[in-house]
Amino acid sequence: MKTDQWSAAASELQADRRAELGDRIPELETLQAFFRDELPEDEADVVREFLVLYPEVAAALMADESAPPVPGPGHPAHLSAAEREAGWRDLAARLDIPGEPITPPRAAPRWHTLWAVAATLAFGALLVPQFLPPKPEVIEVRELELDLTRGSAGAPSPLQILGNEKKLLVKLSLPPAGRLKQFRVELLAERDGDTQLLWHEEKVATDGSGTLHVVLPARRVPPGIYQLRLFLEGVSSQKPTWEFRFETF
Amino acid sequence: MTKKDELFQSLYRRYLPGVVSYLVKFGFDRDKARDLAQDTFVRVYEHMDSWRGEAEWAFLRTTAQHVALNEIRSRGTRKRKGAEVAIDGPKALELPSLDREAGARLIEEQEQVRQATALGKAIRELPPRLRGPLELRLLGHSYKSIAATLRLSLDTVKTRIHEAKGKLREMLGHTPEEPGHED
Repeated sequence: MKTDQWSAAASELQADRRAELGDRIPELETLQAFFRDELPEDEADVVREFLVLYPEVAAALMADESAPPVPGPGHPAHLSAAEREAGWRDLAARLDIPGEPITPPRAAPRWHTLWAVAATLAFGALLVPQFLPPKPEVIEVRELELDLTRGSAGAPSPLQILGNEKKLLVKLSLPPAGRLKQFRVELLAERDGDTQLLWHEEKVATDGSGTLHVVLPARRVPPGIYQLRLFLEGVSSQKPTWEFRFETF
Repeated sequence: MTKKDELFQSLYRRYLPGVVSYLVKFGFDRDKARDLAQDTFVRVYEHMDSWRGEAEWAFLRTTAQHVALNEIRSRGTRKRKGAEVAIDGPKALELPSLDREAGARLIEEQEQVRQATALGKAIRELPPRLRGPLELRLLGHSYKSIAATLRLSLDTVKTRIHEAKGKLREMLGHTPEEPGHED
């Protein structure tokens, strides 16, 4: 009998014994006490019998207590923006609460607000520079690390864009072959099965560790699916050297 | 939207992927984990009045744990009910005529089924303290993972598996090979 056959036999036995156990599942508080070593040995043995049949429950209860990161594409728990939105609508209907979108579009400013902003800007432009020394532009930047060494041409990776971000510093870790090179970087939007070039930058160089730093304007990436295409400088190929797909929400 | 609804929507927006991801760890498939995540948030909404607003993830995680265990419990209930009504014996299979090679394969498969059944029966006869670690080992778990799951020391796990294999050898005349990780 081969190893996998033993495993199959053990799986079958596990399924049978699960059926026999039925609904006699310990309460959460009992399981928590077991993992804190607070149960008397006879009660602990009952919990062990259960955990042998449901080892994944033990793994979940013992898992890191911090919130798990947003699962990427390919992960069984990955959800697209549309799925999240549909889930929210369903939940709002179940609970009878307003089902306003979870990613609401930014409200258009009113005219009087625009006039007030314009007047303030004009005043600032005329007076403030005369009294203040020049300052470097302050931008809110968030670093996003994407690992191209793990392959990237499949389902898009999710990136959460926060409302207050103006620019995103995307750090792309390149495979060894791409280190110490210069690239033309293109940002394309995927729409209706087609792609549209939104932005590009020439001669973006990797740093010593093989990471490419790309600063993207956040306003260019409202919720949707995008591609970052990297073309090796000096190579006249139409095909990108690397490509990274991501989905913003 | 009321303040409560706004907070609830904010929790949903920030933690839905995390809750689904956490429920997948319980062994549920993606669709089931999504359904259970919705149930988790319903329960969260119902208990929000008694929640003081701190440790958001801890609150969601505990709620998801309750929902996951309830689901396992209700599946168990369905299985037991299913077992009670399954009173018909297996129907006779109509086998096609077999050539010599296919016949040999069938005999081999039947032998494997017989051996697997014998192993299952033998494992069932082991005392629970030996059976548990061995079952997990046969399912591919590492010694370290078995020790963590059952809150036993690594030495205790190794000793019990060794003992269990000895008893199986007595019963079956051979010992199962160990699949899974080497520690």
